[in-house]
Amino acid sequence: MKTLRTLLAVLLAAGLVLAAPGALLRQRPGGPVALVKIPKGPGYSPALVARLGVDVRQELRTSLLALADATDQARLRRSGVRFSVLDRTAGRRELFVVGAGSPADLAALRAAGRAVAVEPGTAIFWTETGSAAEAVPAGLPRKALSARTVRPARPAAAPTGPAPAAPPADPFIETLAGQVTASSLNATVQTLQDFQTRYASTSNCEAAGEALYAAFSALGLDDVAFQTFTFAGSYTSRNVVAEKTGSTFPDDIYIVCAHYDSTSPSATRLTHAPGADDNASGTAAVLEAARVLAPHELDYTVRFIAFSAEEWGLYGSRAYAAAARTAGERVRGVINLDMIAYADAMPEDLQIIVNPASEWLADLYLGAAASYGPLAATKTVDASFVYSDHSPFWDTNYPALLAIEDDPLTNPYYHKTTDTLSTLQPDFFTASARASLGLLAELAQPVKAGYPGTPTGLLAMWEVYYSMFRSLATVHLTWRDQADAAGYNVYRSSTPHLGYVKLNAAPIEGRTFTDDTVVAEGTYYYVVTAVGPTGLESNRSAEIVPADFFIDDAPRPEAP
Amino acid sequence: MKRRAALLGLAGALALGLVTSAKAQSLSVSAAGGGMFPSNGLYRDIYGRSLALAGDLWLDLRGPFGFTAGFSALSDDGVALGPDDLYDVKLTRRTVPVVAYGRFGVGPVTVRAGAGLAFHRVEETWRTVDLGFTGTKTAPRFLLGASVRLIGRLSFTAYATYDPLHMKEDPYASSVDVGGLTAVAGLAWRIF
Repeated sequence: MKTLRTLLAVLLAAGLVLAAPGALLRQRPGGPVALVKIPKGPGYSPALVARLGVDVRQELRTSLLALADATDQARLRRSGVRFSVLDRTAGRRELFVVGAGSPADLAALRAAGRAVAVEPGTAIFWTETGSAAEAVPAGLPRKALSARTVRPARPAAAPTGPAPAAPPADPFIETLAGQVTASSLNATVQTLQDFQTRYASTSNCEAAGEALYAAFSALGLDDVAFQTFTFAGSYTSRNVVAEKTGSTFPDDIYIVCAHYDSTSPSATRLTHAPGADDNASGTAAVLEAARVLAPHELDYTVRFIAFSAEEWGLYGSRAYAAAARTAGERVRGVINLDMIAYADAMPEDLQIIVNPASEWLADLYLGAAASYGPLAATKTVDASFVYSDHSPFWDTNYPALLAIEDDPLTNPYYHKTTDTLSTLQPDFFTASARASLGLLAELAQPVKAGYPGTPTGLLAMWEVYYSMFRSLATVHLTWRDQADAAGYNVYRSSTPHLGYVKLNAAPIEGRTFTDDTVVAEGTYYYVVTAVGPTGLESNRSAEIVPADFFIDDAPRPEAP
Repeated sequence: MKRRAALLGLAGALALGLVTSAKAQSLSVSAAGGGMFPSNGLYRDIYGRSLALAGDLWLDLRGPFGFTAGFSALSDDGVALGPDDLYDVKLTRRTVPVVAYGRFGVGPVTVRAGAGLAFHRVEETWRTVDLGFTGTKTAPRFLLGASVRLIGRLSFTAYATYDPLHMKEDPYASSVDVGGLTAVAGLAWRIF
C-alpha cells in the first residue's frame, strides 16, 4: 500500500512538473498590448488588414491606429505590413485621438500629458496617471479611442459621372420645413444656455438632460427614455432618446442627433459653459424636428437623440452606437448636427462630412438643403474626421453624416464662455434646421392622407445565364399587394437611395416585374411605389438589392 | 487581325516551300479526329468535351527536325449555365497552326515533340437569343505525337496539342480561357 501511495505521489508530481509549463504557455498572453500605427502607404490594403484580423481602433487620413500584442506584431511583420509602435503599453489605459492642428496645440497636449503626433493635425494622447479625458486642453476636439474593432473603409471609387440627381422637393415636406421657426430654435438654445454649464460631469448637465426629457415627452412621441452610461472611469451621464415609431417599417430606424453637453476652458467649465453654438444649436434642431414630425405618421421609425459627454470624447454616442450594434438594430442612417448656427460670413454654407460608405447620405442632404433650407451645403468625404457623434456610428458600420458650419472651425467663441445665443446667425440657423428636417422627412417618409399605402415585401432575385463570353441577366421583382393600389411603378438606380429611374411606362397591374435591361456585373437598387385610382403615387418601398436567390426565411409574397 | 493571319499563313507556306526544295526528307499528309479537353471548368460545364477534326502536312527534314502546318476545326454544342436549361449555345474554333518539332525514330515508330504558333478563330452563338461573340487570336501551341508505319506509305498517327488560348472581347474585359488539350488520331500518307 505504501509503495502504491509513493508511486501515485511520484506520478502526480511528475504530472505537475510536465503540465506546468504547458499551462503557463497557454495562459501567456502575446505580451503587452501596444498601440501601433499602420501607414496607408504603398502596399496598404484594407482587405489584407481585415484578413489578418488586425484590431483597428481608428482610421485616419493617412494611417490606421491599431492595438497589437507581440503575436499580432509578428503576424503583421510576416505579412509585410509596415507599422510603427506609438505606445508599448496602450492596452492598460484610455487613449484619445485629438485634433491638434498647430505646434501650439501639440505643445499644449504635451504639457498636459503624453502626446504623439500621428499625422498632420492629429495626435494620440494619454496620461500616465489621472484622467486623460479631463486633461485634454479645452480648445481641442477629441475622441476616446474606439472600444471595439473598426473596419477600415475601402478607398472610394472615383466618380464615373455626374452625381445622381437628388429627388425633387416634396411640397408636403416643404410645408413641414416651413414650420421650423427661428423663435422656437432660439428658445431652446436660451433654455439650454440658462443652465450656465452643461459640462457632462455636472449636476447642471443632468438637469439639462431632464429638461430635454420633459420637452420630448410633451410632444406625444411613442417613447422617451434615458440611456445611462459611465465615462472616464467614475462618471455617469445620460443620453435622452425619443422615438417616433414607423407604421410601415418599424424596425428600420433613422436617427437625428446632437450632443447637449458643453464645455469651456478648465477654469470655468464646471460653472460657466453656455455652449450655444456648440451644441445647443444642434440640440434645438433635433427637438424642433421632433416637434414638427410628432403629429405625423411616418413609414420609418425615427429616433431623436440628445447625447451627453461628447465633449469628453464622444462617450454618449459611443455607448449608444455600441448598444445598437449589439442589439442588431437596423439603423439606416444617422444625421448628426453639431454647431449649425454660427456664420462667419453670409451667405454661410453647411459642411456635410461623411465616410465613403455614407456618401449617399451626404448627396441626399445636399438636395434637401437646396430644397428645404434653402441653403448651400458642401460634401466632404473624410473618414478621418472623427470629432463628433457621427464617428461611433461609423465605427459600428452604420451610415452617418455630420452637419457642421465650418471645417476647420471659424467660430471665435468655440469652447469659450462667450459662446452665447447672441453670437448665432438666426437665418443660417433656421435654414440648417429646415434642411436637416427636410432630409429626415425624406428618409422617414411621412404618410400622406389620400395617398395609397407604401408597398411592402419587395423581393428581387437575379436570374443570370452564362456562356463563355456572354451573359443574359434579368432581375425578377415581386412585392405584396397593396389594397388601395390601382397599379405600381418600379424604379431602379445604380447608387443607393437616389437617382432612381422609372422602368415602366404605364403602371404595372400585377405585383411582379421583370427587368431585362440589366447586365450581370451591375449593382442595382430597386424601389416600388403604389399608384392610386386617381394617379396619386405612394411613398417608396424599402430599397432592395437583388439577391442571387430567395432567402429561406425572408417573407415571401402571398400568392395572387 | 486578318492581315496577321495572312502573314502567318504566308510565312508558313514560304518555310514549307524552302525546306521542301532544299532539305526535305519526307512529306506526309494526315487526317485525324478526336476530342478537346478544356482547361476551363466553365467550358467543361457548358460544353463538356469537344469533337475535333484536323488535317496536317508533316515535313521531316534531313536531321532530327521538321515542320507541321494544317487546319483543325472544333465544334461544341452546350447549354448556357443558369437556373434552367433554357438557352442552347454553340462554340466553334478554327485553327491554323505552324509548329517546328524534333523527332526520333525507333523501328517503325516516329515520335515528334515541338512548339509553334496557332492562329485561332473562335465563334460563340446563342441559338435562340441575339447574343454572340467572334474573336481571333494567335497563341502558342505545344505538340507531342507519334506515328507508326503500317504498310507502304500509310501510317497510323496520333498526337496531342496543348493550346493556352485566353481571349477577351476588349482590352478592359477579363480574359476567357477557351484552350485546352486536344488529342486526335488518324492516318497519314507519305507523299515522298
